[in-house]
Amino acid sequence: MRRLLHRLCPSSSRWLVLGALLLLNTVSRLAAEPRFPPPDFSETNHRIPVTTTPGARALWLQYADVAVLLACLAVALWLIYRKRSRRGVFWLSLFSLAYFGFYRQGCICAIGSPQNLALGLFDPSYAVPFTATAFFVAPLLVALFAGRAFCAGVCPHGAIQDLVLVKPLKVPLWLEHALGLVPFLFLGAGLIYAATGTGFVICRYDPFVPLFRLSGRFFVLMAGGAFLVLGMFVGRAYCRFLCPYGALLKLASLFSKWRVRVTPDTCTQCQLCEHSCPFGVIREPSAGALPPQFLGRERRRLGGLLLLLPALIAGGAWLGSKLSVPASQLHPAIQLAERYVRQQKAPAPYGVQTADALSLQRAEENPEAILTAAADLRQRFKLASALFGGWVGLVLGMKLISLSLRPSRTDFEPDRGACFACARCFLSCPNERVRRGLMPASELPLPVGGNAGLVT
Amino acid sequence: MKMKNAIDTANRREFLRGGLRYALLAGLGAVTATVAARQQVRLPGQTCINAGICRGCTAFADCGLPGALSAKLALKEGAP
Repeated sequence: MRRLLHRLCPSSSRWLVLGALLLLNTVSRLAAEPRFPPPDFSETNHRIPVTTTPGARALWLQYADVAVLLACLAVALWLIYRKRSRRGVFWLSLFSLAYFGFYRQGCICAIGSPQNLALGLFDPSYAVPFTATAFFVAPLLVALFAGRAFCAGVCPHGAIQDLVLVKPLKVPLWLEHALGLVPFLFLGAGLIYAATGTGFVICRYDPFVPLFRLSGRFFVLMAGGAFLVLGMFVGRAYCRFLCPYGALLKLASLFSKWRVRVTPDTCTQCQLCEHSCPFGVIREPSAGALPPQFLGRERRRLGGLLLLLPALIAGGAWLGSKLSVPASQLHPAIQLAERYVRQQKAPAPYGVQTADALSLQRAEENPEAILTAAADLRQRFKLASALFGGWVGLVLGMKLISLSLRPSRTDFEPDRGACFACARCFLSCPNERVRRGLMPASELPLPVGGNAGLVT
Repeated sequence: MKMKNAIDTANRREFLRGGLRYALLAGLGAVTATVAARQQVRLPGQTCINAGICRGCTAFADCGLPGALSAKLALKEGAP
């Protein structure tokens, strides 16, 4: 079965495609260089004027980006739910990688869009671009009704990681649960820093955008490379353990109306789908009803956790408010005010005219304004840090509660929230292969247990 | 009897899931509507999303603010 899947998208061809895309990007950049040297005006002393206002991206092109997003989402849904085609999803993700990744250079992207909305909600002078709103809303809407189709075939970050996946290893469940909290915390931090006007940290530390642009800060480029190396053995490590938008999509798809099913027919519980998923999201059937003597203990534990939840939120908020000062030091205005105060306490001679030294000299012209702005920001950070702390408490509490709940699964099923809808598992199912005429029905394994095929 | 219980549980879960789905949908709609409504009363122009630091800013390429224009000019002229 695995051999067949590998034949559909063999790893060697993935490498070739990735190499071709990188080469294409480099060639297009080289082609953009001027092909002829500028004329020599030395006799007339004429200086070639420098363009000072770069042409903004045309509005129709921005609408085109949104149209491409919507079209890709529609095609992804059709491929996942109607065609049930892994090959189709693979080619769609390649297109998305080329368009949203290398052509649009990772901007606009859905992953950073929650920050635009957070800043737009808290800063009345910031106009949220229409494209940012559309890129935020459309994948979430789809996830609310049909799961993570965006992750499957539209997100360039997922596509580039899928290309490098060579030998997926199984991440231990305890580690998966622990690392699965990180995206929620990163989301909270990203929203808080965006809302306070500090910056868009989700974009700033995005490991793949510098790869799409072939430029960026060294640390982030290294992080991107590290994620790609890690991605050879851990399927979609960024999506599973860091992506903040993935956290939102996970929440939305937990409540989705429709979901991906390994087989549209009866599950024979052969476990082939479980082995075919490189992300370990196929869950086994639940062990059945709990014996009555254990029910009381389970209920008491759940009740205790529900009571603990407000305490965790309150504790987190208190701790967050205590950490507001170090958290606020990321804001440039506060950094400047602190530098100014230090300079006043122990004046140091200005050396080289660096940007820091220049800003400090300008601050000395009107120190009142800088200090007042910093004090205002500190107050905002106190509230923001408390909210972030409360969010951390809520995330931890909800995780504990979700671990104490008993799932009711009668068959092998993809986890609603964690499944990327990549369609890899479809052809691993013998029933699906029979349905498509790839295997005679006589070779079907017999259903195991009495609950196979029950509707849940 | 067992089957009936399983179906009841499934129905209850689906009901709760549906309720939460539409609650999230309403929340999403509210956020979008708020952002769209605020958009209408704003002055035209851009706001810096990176506190004036152009280096490494994701919006730098499309940014038309004076700081970004100066930075682009400096880059074009080969300043460090």
